[in-house]
Amino acid sequence: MADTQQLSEVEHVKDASNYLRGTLRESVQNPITGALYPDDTHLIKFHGSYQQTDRDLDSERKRQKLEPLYSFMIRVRVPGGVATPEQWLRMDELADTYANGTLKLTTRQTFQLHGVLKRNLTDTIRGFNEVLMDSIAGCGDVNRNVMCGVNPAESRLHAQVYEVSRQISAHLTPRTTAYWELWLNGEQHLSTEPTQDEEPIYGKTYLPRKFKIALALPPYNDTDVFANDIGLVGIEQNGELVGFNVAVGGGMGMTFGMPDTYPRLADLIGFVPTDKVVDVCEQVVTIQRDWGNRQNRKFSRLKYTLDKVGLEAFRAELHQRLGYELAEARPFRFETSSDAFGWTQSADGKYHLTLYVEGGRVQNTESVQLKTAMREIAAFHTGEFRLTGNQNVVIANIAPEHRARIEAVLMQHGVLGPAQQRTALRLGSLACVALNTCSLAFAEAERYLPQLLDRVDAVIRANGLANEGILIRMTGCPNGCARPYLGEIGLVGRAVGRYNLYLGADHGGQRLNKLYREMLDEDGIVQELTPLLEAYAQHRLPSERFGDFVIRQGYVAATTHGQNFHA
Amino acid sequence: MSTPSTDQRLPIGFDDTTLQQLAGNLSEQQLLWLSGYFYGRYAATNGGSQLAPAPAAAPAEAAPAAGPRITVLYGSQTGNSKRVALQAVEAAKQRGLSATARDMNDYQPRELKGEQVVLVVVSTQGEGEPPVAAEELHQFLTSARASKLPELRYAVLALGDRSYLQFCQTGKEFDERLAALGAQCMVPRVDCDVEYHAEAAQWIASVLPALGGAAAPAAASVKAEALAPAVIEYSRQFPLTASVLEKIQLNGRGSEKETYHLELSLADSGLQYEPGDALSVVPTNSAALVEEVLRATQLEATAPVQLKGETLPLATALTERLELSTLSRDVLERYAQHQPKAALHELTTATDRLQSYLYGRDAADLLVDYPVELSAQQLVDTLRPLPARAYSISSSLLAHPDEVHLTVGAVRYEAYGRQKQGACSCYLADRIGIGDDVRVFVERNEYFKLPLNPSTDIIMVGAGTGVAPFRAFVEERAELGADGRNWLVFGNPHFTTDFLYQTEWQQHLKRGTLSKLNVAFSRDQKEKIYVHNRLLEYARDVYDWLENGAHFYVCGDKQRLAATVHKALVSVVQMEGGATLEEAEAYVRNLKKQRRYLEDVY
Repeated sequence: MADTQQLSEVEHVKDASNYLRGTLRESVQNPITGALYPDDTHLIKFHGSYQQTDRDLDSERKRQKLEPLYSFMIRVRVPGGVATPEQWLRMDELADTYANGTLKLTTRQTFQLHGVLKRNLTDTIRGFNEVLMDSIAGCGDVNRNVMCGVNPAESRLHAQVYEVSRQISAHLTPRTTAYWELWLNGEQHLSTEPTQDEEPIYGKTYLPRKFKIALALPPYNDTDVFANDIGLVGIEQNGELVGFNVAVGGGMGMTFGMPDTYPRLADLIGFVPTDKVVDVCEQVVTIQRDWGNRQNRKFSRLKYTLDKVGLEAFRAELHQRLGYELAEARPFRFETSSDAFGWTQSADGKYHLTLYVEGGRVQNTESVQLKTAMREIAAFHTGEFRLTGNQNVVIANIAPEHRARIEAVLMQHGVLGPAQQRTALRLGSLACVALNTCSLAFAEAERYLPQLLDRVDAVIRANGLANEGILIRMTGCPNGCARPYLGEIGLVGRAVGRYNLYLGADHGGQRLNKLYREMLDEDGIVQELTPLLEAYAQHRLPSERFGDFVIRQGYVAATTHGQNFHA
Repeated sequence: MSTPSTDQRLPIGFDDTTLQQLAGNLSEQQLLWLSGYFYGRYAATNGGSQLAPAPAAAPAEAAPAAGPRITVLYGSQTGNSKRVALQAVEAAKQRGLSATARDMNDYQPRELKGEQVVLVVVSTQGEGEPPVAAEELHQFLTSARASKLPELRYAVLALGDRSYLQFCQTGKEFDERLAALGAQCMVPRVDCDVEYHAEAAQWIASVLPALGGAAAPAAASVKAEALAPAVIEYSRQFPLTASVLEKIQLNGRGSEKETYHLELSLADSGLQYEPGDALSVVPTNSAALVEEVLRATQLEATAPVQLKGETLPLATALTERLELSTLSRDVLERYAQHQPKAALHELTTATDRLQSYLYGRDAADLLVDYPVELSAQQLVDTLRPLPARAYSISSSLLAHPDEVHLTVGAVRYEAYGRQKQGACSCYLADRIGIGDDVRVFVERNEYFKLPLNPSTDIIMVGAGTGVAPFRAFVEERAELGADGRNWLVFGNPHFTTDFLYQTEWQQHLKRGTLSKLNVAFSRDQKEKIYVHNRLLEYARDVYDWLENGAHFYVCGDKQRLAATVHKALVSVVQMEGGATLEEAEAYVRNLKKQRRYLEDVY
């Protein structure tokens, strides 16, 4: 390990924080500012929250001699994305009481509240706790929310994979009592979080950087497992889950102007039976804890650790720590990383409805009152809600007698109905939050993508492609929250109103895209996409996906590994 | 006026013809002021000492005093009464009379028995209460302990504000009590409105001849008057025209409040002020309100009217010269003279009903409620002059040379079927922008000042725009490097939108130029929290600071803030000083008497 002088600032903050306490208590209580003390802004992430400002108002407020409008995004962990109706109702209520009146469903199957003022942080977190939810490790240098495919058609297998995701989540949750002490008066919530202040897995400086785990069950890759530090591909035999193929070293983020940074997909390293999967995850985490770069946070993710030491060295270390070797990876096939919209029925007779949520934003607009509809449904629904990795929601395990009622509620509030005929392009679209609250954003994403899609949809319809699923993903910066490098069309913000256009990812989340054009404005995007879509409509092979088409036609070269993403 | 000789030739544009034209429209008073102004400029650039006579007091001291011993007793809150009292003493001395000005605050009531002549100058606070400084003497005079004063001769000048129902009440009571005790009134009491200068001067001029002495030579008095503008005194009649350098709405989006920060240029004006002073702004009435008045009276906008020797179109008089947005008793009384119906006459004599009628109504309401046919001239004669509105200055000249800053809350409300606006606050909010000119003058606030000792701690309690003078205080102390601690307690409805000057306070805290800042945002939680709650919460500190000699300042709403803060302070003294209620009240009263508890409330 390099000498401590060179450790990044955040490492020092973690080290001095006494297991994530820092001066958060004083910070939160200081009534003169809506912000935290600078060091605590790092620590609050481990508690599931980012300090943000309303960037739309920054300069206006500066002139008004007011500090920026600080508020907090709070990310509630929802392992596997499964929430009970009671939990949904609580989030709905908290959004109105303390946040901006909307719920954001994230690309990691969590709920996000935006615009929570500092003075309401404690009451908001208490609100989660009362329905057995927490935001601990929602963000920060720890294992984040564990994702699990929603798999509406297979409720029995889903239950098995989901159970594994819960075990991993519980095992890798930080053990510090700081969260309970700071937000809940020391009272433990009713679930199974341990109490003593030591971190047997993480140690007191936790991981060098964030860490992500996702599980999927082929043929659905709706969690984009290869975009994660650990991707687990469920392997089924005779209708039973037998284990997982393990992939390591995925991650989306990069920095413009730094070609040493790149998105990377996880490499398959073998197969592990179900009962050993938690163990494997722990050991991968500990290698990253010990080997990861703590000097420069731009190179701290597992993907860089892996490329530095090489896959073989990593695998050897893992086998040594495990005390056994992983078996050969089993064959599998992913068809899509999108969601399967609409009604399905599983073998047990229950119904599932996957709903499109534009930008993942559960809100009421003039024409569509999604938030109200979901609240009404949650009041009687006896199944659960599954947040998808694509910012959508599955109303799952609907009792047969509730199907008509749910349909009626959704019709009444404009969620379902003739007006909602969307192109497959729009249904598969993803956008991160970006402006106005994300401090990293260079450009719009969630607020703007629907408007851009109005223009692209016109081209899509004109070419008879309305039902062709093409993954389009937009982010306001290159850090990759909406997994833009796995978009068949990827748009990454460079400056306000300007985007880089990436093409050529596959439809199943197994190949990254490549830069096609830089710094396009809206007209530029439409002008570039139009001839490509026309060509696709005319010259594609049967069932050829758009991402494969642009490579076959030579518009871009295939990216075969993160390290040749920029090539 | 003669043309200057060759060596005094004036620059182009100052030729005799032009000067004649410029002077043509000026009144005698205005000409006199201008002569003083230019003399002042001259004196300032030439050191002034050669031409300026020795202080006017000197000859009076040298000459043997004649006539009776005169005591000018003043009871002052903002310093106006004191100023008039000193003027009276000065005038008396010029007549060779012996006169002393005494602050009622430091005056033993028993001394009255030994007085020969007492001239009382006293203001009235709020709903007819005496200023703190006059409380004791006032109480003594109205008590049974007061003995007869048959030898005493007296006169009373009452200062007040006609827009209050109990106009000049304290002055009236002094007059009545002195008369009741057998003292002889020399001249009838004069009750002055906000614009008191002219009437006060007349009162002095009328009372002194009765006391003997000789009128000062005319030349001397002219000289004295001409000298006055050496430090240029801008006033209601002669305001400074200042341009707006900056105008910022201080409340964030979504606020129910609308507070403006204005920065005005004082460049080349010579206007000086101190933290604690107020700046008066001469507004104009809104076109909409003028229109309402014209509609109600069916009068022509262009109808010529006479106003102070000038002829103007009615609309101009209504816009620029006359108060329209508030009603006062005197206006109702004058209006009632044109009104044959009994209802209005009854209203003017029923105090409680009158009060509720006046509240929230404007001139247009009166004209609609009690319609009567009036000529344009009668209307103009019925209304009162448009007063300037005073705002506590929110800047320090040390921190912002050549600038004066104001913090103005726009007053808007709906009453009696129409949208009402504060005349001056909405003039500034709606009709004045960056680069525009506004007419202003300083209203000195004698007592609401920083402690002379820079090591003395200060506690500042301000709600809403009441924070204005404290911005000036803290800036001034920061510039001076004063080592006394500064503690601000600020309140407003919401933290995110109404934390006036938030980033400045944060900087002051960081730099140590603000030692302590407590905030009370009343609407940010279920229970309402106000500044007085914070004083109680930090009672120990408040008491310790006071015991350590701190000065305590309150600025803001008179009705809601002043009384609750006073009460909280009494509680603080009870709790922390182990005092009984009476002792605590005496403690707080004593703070006021010592002028360590100072209010700037409105």
